[in-house]
Amino acid sequence: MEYELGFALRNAWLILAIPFLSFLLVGLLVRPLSEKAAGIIATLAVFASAAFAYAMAAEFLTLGAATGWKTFVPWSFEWLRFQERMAVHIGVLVDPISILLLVVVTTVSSLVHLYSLGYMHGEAGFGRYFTFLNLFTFSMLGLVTAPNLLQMFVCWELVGASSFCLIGFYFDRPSAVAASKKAFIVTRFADLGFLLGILILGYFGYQVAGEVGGTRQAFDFLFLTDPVVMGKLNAIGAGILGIPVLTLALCLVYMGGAGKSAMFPLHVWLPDAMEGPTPVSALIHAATMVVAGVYLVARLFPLFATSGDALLVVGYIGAFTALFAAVIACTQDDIKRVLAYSTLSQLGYMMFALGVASVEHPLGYTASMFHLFTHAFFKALLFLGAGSVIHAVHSNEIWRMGGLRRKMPVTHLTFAIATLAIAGIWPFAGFFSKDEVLAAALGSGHYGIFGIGLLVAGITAFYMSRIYFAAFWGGARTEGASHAHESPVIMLIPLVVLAVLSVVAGFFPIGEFVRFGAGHGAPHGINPAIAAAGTFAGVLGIGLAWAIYGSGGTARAEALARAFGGAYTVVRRKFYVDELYLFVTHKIIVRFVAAPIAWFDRAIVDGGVNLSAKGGRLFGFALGSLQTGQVQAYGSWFAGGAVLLVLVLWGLQ
Amino acid sequence: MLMLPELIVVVTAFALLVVDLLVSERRKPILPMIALAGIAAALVAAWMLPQSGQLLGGRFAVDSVSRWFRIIFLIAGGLTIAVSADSLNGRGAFRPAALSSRAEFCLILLFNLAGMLFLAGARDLVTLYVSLELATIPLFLLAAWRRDVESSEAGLKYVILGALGSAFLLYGLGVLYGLTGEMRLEAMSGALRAGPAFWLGVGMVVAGVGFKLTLVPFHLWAADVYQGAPTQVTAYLSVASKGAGLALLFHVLYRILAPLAPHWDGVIAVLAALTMTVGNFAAIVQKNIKRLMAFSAISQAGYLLLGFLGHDGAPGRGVAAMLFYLLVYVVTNLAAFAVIIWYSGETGREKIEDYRGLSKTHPLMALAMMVALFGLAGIPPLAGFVGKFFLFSVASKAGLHWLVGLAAINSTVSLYYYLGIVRRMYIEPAGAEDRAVRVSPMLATVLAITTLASVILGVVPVFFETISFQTADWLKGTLW
Repeated sequence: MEYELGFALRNAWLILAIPFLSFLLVGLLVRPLSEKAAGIIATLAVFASAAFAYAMAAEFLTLGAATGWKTFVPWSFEWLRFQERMAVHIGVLVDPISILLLVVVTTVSSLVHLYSLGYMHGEAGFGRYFTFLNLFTFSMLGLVTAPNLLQMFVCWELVGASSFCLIGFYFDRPSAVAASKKAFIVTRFADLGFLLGILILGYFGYQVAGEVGGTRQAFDFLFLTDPVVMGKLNAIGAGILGIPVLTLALCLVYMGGAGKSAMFPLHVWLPDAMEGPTPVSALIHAATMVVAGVYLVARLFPLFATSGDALLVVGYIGAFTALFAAVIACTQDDIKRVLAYSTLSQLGYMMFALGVASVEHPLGYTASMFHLFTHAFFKALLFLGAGSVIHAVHSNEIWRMGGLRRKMPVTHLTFAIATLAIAGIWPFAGFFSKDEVLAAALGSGHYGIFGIGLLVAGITAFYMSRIYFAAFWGGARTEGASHAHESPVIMLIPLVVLAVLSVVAGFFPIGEFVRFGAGHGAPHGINPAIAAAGTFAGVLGIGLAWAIYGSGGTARAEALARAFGGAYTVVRRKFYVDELYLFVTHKIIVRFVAAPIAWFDRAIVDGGVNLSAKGGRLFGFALGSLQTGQVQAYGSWFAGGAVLLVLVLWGLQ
Repeated sequence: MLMLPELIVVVTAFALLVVDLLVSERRKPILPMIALAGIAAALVAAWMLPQSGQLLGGRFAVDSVSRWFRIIFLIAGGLTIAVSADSLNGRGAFRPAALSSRAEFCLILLFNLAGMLFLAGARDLVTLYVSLELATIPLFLLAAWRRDVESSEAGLKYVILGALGSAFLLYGLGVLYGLTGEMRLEAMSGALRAGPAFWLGVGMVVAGVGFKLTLVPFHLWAADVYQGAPTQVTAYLSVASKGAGLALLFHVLYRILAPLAPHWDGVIAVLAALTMTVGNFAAIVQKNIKRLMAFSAISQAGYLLLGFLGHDGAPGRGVAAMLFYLLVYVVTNLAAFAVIIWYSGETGREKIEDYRGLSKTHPLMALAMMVALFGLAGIPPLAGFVGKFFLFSVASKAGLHWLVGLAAINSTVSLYYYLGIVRRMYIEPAGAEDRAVRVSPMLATVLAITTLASVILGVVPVFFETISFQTADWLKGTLW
């Protein structure tokens, strides 16, 4: 490295060490002593991480202009050595998107930690909660800064495990336990594809590494995204079913990403994951972990772009998920579930933004990261606001709220800002990023996807306004809502901070440094035509919602539901995807695959083990019967044995 | 000078007799302490003395192998006295488990120990046989020490079958002497000529050794004697007597029969296979913990026998592995026996099911027992695992892969009954009447030492390396 690194980048290991040590300290030492201290120490540690991440970002930004935003690994050590050129390092990789994610993750995580001090106050398992939250933060930072596929995979599983622990935080509630299992199993299923993809990439990467020479490691991102290496990988040709090896491997890798980012058809776990405490939903299931899939595709974007076909898969699945989830969100009554479907929809947005990008039109890459950046803030804000409301009303049902506008002014104002932001209204953050995504789709000639994007923008504005009007306008519909009052200050501070970020994040010139390819993707100004169309869709959605729900009554909504009849029910039941999965797993897999295997296991495997055990016991009893206790018998055996021994020795000579 | 450890032990034994007459009854708990001090002094002497040399015209000699045998015997003897001290002093809560006549008990045990030490150094037939008898006959007395029905029966059975074993051994040695006309072991090896009479002699000698080492089918006495004898004596039998058997077998195979080395692999392998298999499978169905430990000890003898294999590939490795495992086995088995002695001495109960819930009433004792049992089963990282690993690798290098497989299966089988005890201690609840009983400082010390040793020997490689290095030295000098 010919450039002088600053303190933060020279000591980049601290970004992982701080939350990890805090996790150990809090989990093992502090928690048994004082639950309260555990929460405070965990929160301070994450704030320290955030400060460190900002320092890294500042140094990188000053350095970046000089180096042309080069990717480099300021710190790493060898962890596993399989072969020469196939060693795995633990390290910290620094490039624009990892820095971007570092800032987002630490910011949201520290605010959620702070918020949780108020939200979780008095809950049993307060210390456990913060321990897992710290573990999650560490794992997520490890994922973001992974310099190779294997570290990413390990941290990928770690975030999955901490997500599992936090969804099932209320482990005495069967629904929470079921949701945590569902999330874990679905994402693990997806990770199987990821692992296969890693193995294929590693296998061929190792061969290419041998051809190319040098000391670079097959799993490293810097190696895999090297143009020479990518060319060789792309030239390998057909794998299975005529699909090129590279495309196959990337589709498998994408399967992992789709599981984590809850893309259709692996989206079923995310709405259920709302069983976890609301701040967890804000952090893990809205702002950070679920964008890991997007980040994975972005991290390997040069490879995806080389393959082309894999990127199309990403794009179309993303667009479909965006529309599919947005439609479902219109019919849900649980405020957190609406937000969950909205997250699905926005993740679809980020995915198709990546999908429409290419080497010639790389704007989607920037747009996707931009949307990830802004979405993290306003979606976390929406969840924390919803948490604040739930905290006050003690219900998730939007029809059990109403009229909270006056009773919870700060929550109301910040929620309104977030709603406008996600609806894409100027000057809030969502406007800029959504505009850029749509511009990318149009600019690269994907008109269908552009159309879907525009439609989704309108639907998004509609269902977000729907819950906003239902919860905050009109009169209180229940006892709980009429006695609601504003949350404590410690919960309001994060709301205000996030609200400010939701306003200003859009002005952040992210295109200056997050871009793909030299020269291209220069800072993109606002395209008036697209901006007008997007804004029109947003305003239309809000207006429609106001017309139906603005009164605070439910009469018009019910009439509308009746009018749509069967279609409404299908959407409300989420297109019966869950039912379909249950049918496939219970009726088909369990009966025709699992049951015979279970029988084989019980009858043949266990039977064999039991048979050998029984045989052993019988043999033991037979030997025991030699022990008659009579000295004559023992003596006879002795003499007989000696004679036999002599004969054997004689015979063997 | 070379005989210093033996002399110290014998002098201590006689000193005990005199002191016993002089001190008052109240002061007599000092007697086991004197015995311990004597053994400790002998241990220091054995450690400090030069590693080679001979006396009495070559009839008695020291080399690195016999030095390690002596060290192990002294450790075993010392630990046995230490775990017996409470019963000898009548401290146990369960009166019938107490041992009478402490001076005589220690005296006889020390004589026996001296016999084993002489055995390690013996280099001619007469010395060998006399020291072997000294290492055997006192055990008959010890087995019958309590004079109740079981103990007497054990003693009597032991005497009769022991005499049979001695007779075979003596007759075999006589035949070998007749064939060679030599008394010195190394000289005999030079004069041997194979023939029917020779094989008769060898067969009988091996049968006699088999008695001592509880090799199948010469093992049948072990279960009855181990169960009936006082537990302290059982502990001693299972480690020291077995060690003496190994020393004897070492003399026979590596000195008298040295030129025939390539021939004995098959026989040893079959004996080892039989011994470990029969011992382990018979142990599965036992209900009495002492009887279980008897069969466990038989199977361990089978493992130890593996050390005599593989003479042509890497000479000496087998000896080192055998000595190391013997050392590990001594400390690990005595740790388990210390718990058994304590429990039966305080409660009089020695069924396996009586150990249920021990982890609730005595967490530390249960922990020590568990570590010891895991060590015997050979679970990493305990010394038992490392020791077995070296022994198995000896068999593997000798090309006997079937035997390694069988030994591995046997280790798994042994896990069943060792874990059975652990399960009772840790998973089953304590009985309503089970309550904490006293643990004496002496016992706690012994347990702490043996448990730590059974871990450290496995984790710190220097012990095996030292034994390996020194015995390799011996082999270079003498045999090959």
